[in-house]
Amino acid sequence: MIVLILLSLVIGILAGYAGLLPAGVQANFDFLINCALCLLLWGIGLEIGGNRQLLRQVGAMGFRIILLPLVVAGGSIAGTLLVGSLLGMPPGDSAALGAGFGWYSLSGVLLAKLHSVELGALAFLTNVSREALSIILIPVVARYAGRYAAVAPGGATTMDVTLPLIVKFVGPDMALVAFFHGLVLSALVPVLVPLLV
Amino acid sequence: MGLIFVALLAGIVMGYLHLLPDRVFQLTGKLTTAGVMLLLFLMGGQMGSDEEILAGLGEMGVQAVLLALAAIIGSVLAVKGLEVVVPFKPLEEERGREV
Repeated sequence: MIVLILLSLVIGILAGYAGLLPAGVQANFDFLINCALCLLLWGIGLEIGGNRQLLRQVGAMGFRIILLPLVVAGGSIAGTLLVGSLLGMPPGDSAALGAGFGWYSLSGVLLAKLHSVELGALAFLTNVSREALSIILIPVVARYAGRYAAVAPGGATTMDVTLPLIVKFVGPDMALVAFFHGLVLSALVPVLVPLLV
Repeated sequence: MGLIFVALLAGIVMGYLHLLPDRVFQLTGKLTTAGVMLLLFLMGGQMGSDEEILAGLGEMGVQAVLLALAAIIGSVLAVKGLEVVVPFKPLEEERGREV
């Protein structure tokens, strides 16, 4: 999955660099990206809404389950704020990068549209790195920092890409917590990124 | 940006109410994969035709990895902090206690 996705990006970069894209596409990147994004979010919505059992079970778990994604959101943003200030970045920029929570496509597009193509590219790379590093670090965190901490690295991706890893290295009983965690963080990305930048 | 929320909400409602035939619904996983691929291809195209970005990619890559590590470490520490304040127990035990 991640290979296919990264391959699409690389092919896109090469096609753009080599000037292989039709002029009509080049002139309408923003419009086309919006269309793809709407299609994508509609599909994600179908998957969330279609899983009735999941919505019901989450409701039964109570307030503790919501605390987990909220502290992960705070910790992620605090981390990028700290390193961002060491790198000499404006606080709003580095906070918005952290608020991508690993959802590289959405945070990259949002910041490219709201701020600049450069910050969009950095958001994309930062959040791709977060997903890739999570895949490596989840087994390590699960072993040394415990089952709840192991959900944290994946951020918004714990509802899809990193969910199988959490189930494998922490246990199937964490699947629902991890999914809900990813769901809340995914919902926070389009809210927090525009607020922070 | 409003259109994106409408699309997400429309998806959730349509999924929840089973407004689509099962055959179509089973394709949503493929639809989102195709959507992500299309999105990234277009974003790649936009980046690839922007020479300034290509020039900055090397230094940017190092920054990106540092920022990603900071976000991961920050979030793990935050969860450890939460566990001190509100002790989490494995879900099974919690359910058992409440009954």
